[in-house]
Amino acid sequence: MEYLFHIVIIAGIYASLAVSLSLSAGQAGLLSLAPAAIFGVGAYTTALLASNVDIPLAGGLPCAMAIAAVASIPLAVAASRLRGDHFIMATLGYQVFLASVFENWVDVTKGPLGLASIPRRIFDSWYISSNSEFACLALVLSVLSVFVAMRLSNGAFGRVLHCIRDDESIALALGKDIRRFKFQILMVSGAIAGAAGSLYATYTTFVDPSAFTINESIVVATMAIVGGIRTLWGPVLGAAALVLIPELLRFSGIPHTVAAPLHQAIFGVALIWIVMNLPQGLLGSAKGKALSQNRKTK
Amino acid sequence: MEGQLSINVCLAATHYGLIALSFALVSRTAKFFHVAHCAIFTLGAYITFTLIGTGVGSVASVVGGVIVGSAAGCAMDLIVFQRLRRRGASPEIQLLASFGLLVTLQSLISLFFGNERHSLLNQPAEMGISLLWGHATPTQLLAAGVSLSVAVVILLWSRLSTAGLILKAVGDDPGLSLARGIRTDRAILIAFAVASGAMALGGILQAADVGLTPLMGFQALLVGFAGALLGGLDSNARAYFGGVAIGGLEQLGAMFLPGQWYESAIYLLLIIVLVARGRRALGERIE
Repeated sequence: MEYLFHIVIIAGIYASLAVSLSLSAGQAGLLSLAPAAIFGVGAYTTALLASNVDIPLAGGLPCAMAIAAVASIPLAVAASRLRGDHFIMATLGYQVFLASVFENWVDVTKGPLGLASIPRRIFDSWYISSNSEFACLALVLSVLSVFVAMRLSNGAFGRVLHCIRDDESIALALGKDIRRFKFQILMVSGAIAGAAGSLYATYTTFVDPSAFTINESIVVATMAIVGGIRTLWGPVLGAAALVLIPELLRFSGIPHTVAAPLHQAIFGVALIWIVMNLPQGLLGSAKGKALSQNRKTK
Repeated sequence: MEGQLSINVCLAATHYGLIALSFALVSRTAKFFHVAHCAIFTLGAYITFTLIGTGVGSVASVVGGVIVGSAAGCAMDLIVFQRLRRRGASPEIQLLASFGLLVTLQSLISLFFGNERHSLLNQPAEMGISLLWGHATPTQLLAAGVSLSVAVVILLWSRLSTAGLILKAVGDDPGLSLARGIRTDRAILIAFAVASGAMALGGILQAADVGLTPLMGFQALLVGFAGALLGGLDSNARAYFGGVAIGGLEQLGAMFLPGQWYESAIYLLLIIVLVARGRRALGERIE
């Protein structure tokens, strides 16, 4: 049972991360390849605060969100000058840069050894030891992330973001301050990724640079794209599916040395297949089909 | 010390120049950042490693690695990118597909060969040859000579041959090229073939010097891409000299920055150049 809760926790954390990516990419057209790096900033902030200053998750989480949002500022600067694939490549550079900082700033991050024994203290003397309680926290975080994404994408703010995504020149012609909107959405997206990182560090009680590499970013992007990056629940579906499939491989008796690259290959093939056949993702395509059927029956 | 540094700068410059040129050739013609190009770098090295392991001669193995690398690049274009282009996919979608290919190829190489470092030539460490200002091994000198020669041939071909001019036309304006009767898909396929062959050769030459790992291509992508952007992707020659400059900067950076930080400095430079150049990075003209 603890194992099942473990899967729920990991899926919940990755769902929040995928939602944070879909918020900037799906709503504003700013697909970042640095979600794992921002997630790492949140995780390291919480780990350092908990280990060195004895601050529990209740205090560490807002700090992680704030620092992760600040760490997203370079992405916002890049977004003000770049679009599409140019922006993606700049975020790739930023991802590798931050991963290199995690690896090489040994005085703070302990380098490849990582930070261990992070206390699972939530508030004052409240410690969490069971996976079931953590699963609740992870689910609450993912639902809250979707709620924030829903609030932001449905209102006037969301309509401007959609306009920026579809045609920046129209948004400019309407007098909208594009830079401000991009800045704000990337800050919010960064804060959600930071919160996911904070929960990840507290759950695993250990952070090291291997969890925040470019491969992790591609995995998160694949989750969001497979589910449907422009939908609200698509990234959650994508995260659940792509966390579950590798776990199923675990029961097939394949050795770890084979399973790890096999997972990556599955993510790669899934990304190619979805991009070629269902560019709107699973949920986005299903929605599109339902809408066109409704129109036909009317 | 300065003498050895100048030799290291020359060796790195010729190597990165070829990578940047190859990256520029394919990305400019196909009009998207083809990141899976770096998987060809790794693939070429591993194919050569396998051929040498089965007893094939060194030169034949290198030729085999280059041919397979070139064929793999063409297969990527035919199976994935040509279809995407026909559906009118944006450069962003093509980039994502390219990432998918990169992850898949890199994982398959890791699956078949393991993650450990292999030695390509399987020979004891070479003695350095004493030059005027320092030392270099015969393999390093041969690699620099081959890289430089191949880069010069590609630059001359792209500037003087009809095929090279067609590639330039397609890169500048694919719509107009099509209207003038140029078969753009074929031109892009040629760019994939030539650039992939050059990239595979770059991988083989690096592997001959420092060995091979499944992740070697990703590093090549970042330095090659940073170099091509620094010079400008709108001209093959400038992209080549951008790569040469990155090679020089890397060696000079190693002198002034602690070893572990100079790589980060290159990534930072990549972002700065990209942001400074804006959307002109792929030759897009901004009114």
